[in-house]
Amino acid sequence: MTWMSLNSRTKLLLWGLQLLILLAGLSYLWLFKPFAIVADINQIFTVEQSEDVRLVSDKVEQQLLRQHVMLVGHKKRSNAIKYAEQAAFALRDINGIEVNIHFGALPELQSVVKDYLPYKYAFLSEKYKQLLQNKNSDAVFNYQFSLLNEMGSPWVAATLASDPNLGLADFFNQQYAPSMKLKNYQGYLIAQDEIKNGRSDDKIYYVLINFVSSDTGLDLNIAKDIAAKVNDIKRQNDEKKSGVHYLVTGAAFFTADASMTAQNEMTVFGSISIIATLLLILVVYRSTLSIFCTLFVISISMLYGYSALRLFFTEVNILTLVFAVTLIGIAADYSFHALSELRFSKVDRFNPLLSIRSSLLLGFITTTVGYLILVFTPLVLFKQIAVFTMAGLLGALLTVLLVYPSIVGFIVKKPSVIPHFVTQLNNWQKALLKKRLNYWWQAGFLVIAIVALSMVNNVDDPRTFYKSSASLVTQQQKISEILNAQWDSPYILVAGDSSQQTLERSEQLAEDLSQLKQNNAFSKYSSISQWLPSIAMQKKSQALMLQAENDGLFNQLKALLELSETQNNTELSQLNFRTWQKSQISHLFTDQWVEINNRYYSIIKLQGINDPKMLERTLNNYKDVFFVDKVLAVSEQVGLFRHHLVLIYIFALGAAMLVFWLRYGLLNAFIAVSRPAIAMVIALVISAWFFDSLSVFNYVAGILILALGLDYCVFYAEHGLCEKITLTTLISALSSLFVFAILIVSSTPAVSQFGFTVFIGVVMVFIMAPRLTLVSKRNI
Amino acid sequence: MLNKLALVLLFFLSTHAAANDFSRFKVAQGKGQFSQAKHFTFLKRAIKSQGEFVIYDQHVYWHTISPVSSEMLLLPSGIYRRLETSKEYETLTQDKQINSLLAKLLSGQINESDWNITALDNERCYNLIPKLKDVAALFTNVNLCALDESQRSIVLTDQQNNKTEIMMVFTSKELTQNDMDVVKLTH
Repeated sequence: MTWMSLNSRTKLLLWGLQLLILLAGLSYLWLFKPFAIVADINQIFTVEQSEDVRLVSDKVEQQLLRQHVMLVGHKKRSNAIKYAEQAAFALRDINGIEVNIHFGALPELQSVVKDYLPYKYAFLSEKYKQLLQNKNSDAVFNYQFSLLNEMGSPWVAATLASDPNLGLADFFNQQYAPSMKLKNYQGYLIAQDEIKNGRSDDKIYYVLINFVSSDTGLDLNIAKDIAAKVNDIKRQNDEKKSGVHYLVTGAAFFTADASMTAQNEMTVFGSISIIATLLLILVVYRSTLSIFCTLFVISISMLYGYSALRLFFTEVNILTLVFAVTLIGIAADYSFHALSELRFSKVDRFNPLLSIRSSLLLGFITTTVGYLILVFTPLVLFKQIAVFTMAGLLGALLTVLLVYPSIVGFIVKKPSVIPHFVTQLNNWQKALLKKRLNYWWQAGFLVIAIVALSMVNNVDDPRTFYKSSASLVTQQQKISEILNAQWDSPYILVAGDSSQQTLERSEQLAEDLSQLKQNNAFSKYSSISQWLPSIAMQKKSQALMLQAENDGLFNQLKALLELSETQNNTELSQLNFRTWQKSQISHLFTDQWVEINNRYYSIIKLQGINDPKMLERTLNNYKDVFFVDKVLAVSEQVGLFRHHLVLIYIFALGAAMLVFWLRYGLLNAFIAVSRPAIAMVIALVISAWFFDSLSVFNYVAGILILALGLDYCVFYAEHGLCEKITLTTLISALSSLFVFAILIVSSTPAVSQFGFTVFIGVVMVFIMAPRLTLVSKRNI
Repeated sequence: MLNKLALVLLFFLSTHAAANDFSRFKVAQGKGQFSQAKHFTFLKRAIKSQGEFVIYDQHVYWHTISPVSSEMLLLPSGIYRRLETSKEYETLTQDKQINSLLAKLLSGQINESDWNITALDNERCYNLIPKLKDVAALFTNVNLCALDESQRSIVLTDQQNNKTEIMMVFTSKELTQNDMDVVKLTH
């Protein structure tokens, strides 16, 4: 006795039992396993990195994701301060938030100079060193005189008395001091910006509020709290009345925005596709119970999918949930097959689904194989979608096979008549089947389409997959501009076993970095080694200065300044890293130095990166120097994955072919798998034409086309081109179209691209699948 | 009655003094020669230099000719310098507050919101004290005098009490295309 020959009550009991186990398991997971929904799309890509790079880049990323900035702007400084204090007070209400509005004094010129003065001759610019090495006393004097004569530099006046050779003044001149636009006023950090309305006098004062969340801004709860509080603050002080305006940036704002968009889309798309599907059922099956049954199958499949996500993942991307809407369309198919069978056939009351059992199972196997392959992809988003869909489909299959036999008495009173339009469609399908293209034409078109695809522009940059709110992007740019902190997100990481080794390795890069800058690979960089040369470098500078003194290279300047020629007998010392860390200037570089597991890392910030690949190529030549560019790494990985997808297609088709071969023979199996394959290629070509390029999401949609297409093929091959199958595939295709067509209008480009390709693919597969009827033993 | 008249006069005088007239100092465009003397407190002798300048729309080209040649550009984007004409300019500072203030001083665009202003010597000269703390870290005091239509002097005093005396003599308020080109970073 097989399980299918069990009576309806036993099947229902079995189903109830497995559901209880599922619910118990889900409760356990709910209580004891952490689970979070994240909204940052970059988190869906895992990038392979060496262990120490991963440790440091994670730390840097975590720090960055916890930092949030608010600038409170007003034409009057006193008002800007007043409103900033109000905002800071309100922000402190949020749990786990540390708000900073009062800051220590920014390093002042005299105190910076004081920290460097004890280390005579230790600090020289590259230009100055070069002049000393050339030993041309006139050139040295010209350079020194131009420094002395300068109008705008305060360093000369501050250092000349202690360092009349002006080496130190020149060293400071060459430095880029970060955050120069922020000025400390009564403990507040204030930046000034001009209002661009033609009147140069109009200035606006921005007061800085920095707030750090205990967890990263990717945490949805934190993100929502912060975003809601900031909206409250903005509402309380209307810009038109008070003249105050707020600029904010930080991960929490992007997360809250992405989450709101995704939630809205899920609600709207989910509701529209469910309502459309239910209306379709009502029209075709003319039974309210059918609606409830389908809703029930969809709900159970969602429960299965959600349980699987909780079991296998601790973090799920919000995009997975948007894609999860597609399960509605696929899971409902099982209900349609069963309902068509129960409604329009003479059924065996004891085993009502017997005749479609094998096609349901075969359909489930082929679809699952398609999704199973996605589990082995490197992108966690696709793993999550695949796990969710496979588990959901299993739930739907079990529900249909085990629960539907029990309700057969309520659904089937007497077989209904198939709607007239289905009969017409069936006739059209039969006519189309007779007019099919010969194989050579088909093969010819396929080859042309594949060649066209190989020439398509593929976009792998993850930044093109999603679209952040324009207002948030503008605010972020404005804040970077006001704070003069326009550093790019990629950076260079220099590692060493000691602080000195790290500094020396950073210095070794200097020449290549200046070459790269000249070649326009980037426009500016900031490294701790610019402010603190290694001890070896300091000693080298000191030796150069002593030699220059002995060679008389400074005599012209000494004569001009009327300084006596003194012999340098004092012992020269060097500034070490620990002492420098206590200096004024070092406070501006705390985010550029990391120490983990007795390893020392310096972060070199970059600005205006034009050619990340050139940077990566050059830096690869150095030991323990890494170019950390998540976007580039992810792009490369996505590109690689795109190529792997071709293999995935081949495997999926191969696996399906094997199943079909065993059942229908080699030639028929080939025909069966070629239909969805052709539909997929056509869908990709049309998508490329529509979007001007293809992304990995178009290619992934191909997997779904194959899965759905094979499913349709199974039913045509198993049951022939009868009206009942035309009806079922029509409803199935329409319900899938309701789901995928709606995704096209998603504000997230990735979701829209996915929806479009599947939409075209499903239409094509619906047109082509009846060809499999010729394989069927039941034939037309 | 006399007292009241005195009060009215005082009021008139004080309001008149508050609305300082810097129109004599303003130069939308012009060129000429300068001489500069830097007096460092601990040096016996001043560091002297001279050269030529071009001012065009708050962009300043400052060309020291002797004793050592160097060119400086004060632009809204920063201050740039080069020692050899054949080479490209190098950035000296990108602090917009400082370079725009220097450019304004040289071109006579005195903004009353930037300074505490006292008129001296029958309004021929003005003493300017910066309002902003970080500008005061550079110059504690600026003395600006218009000697006649074409001559003016500027004395900058820094925190260490070093003084920079600049004498500017305008030779023309008309600029050629070549003059306008030299205030560009690309020339």
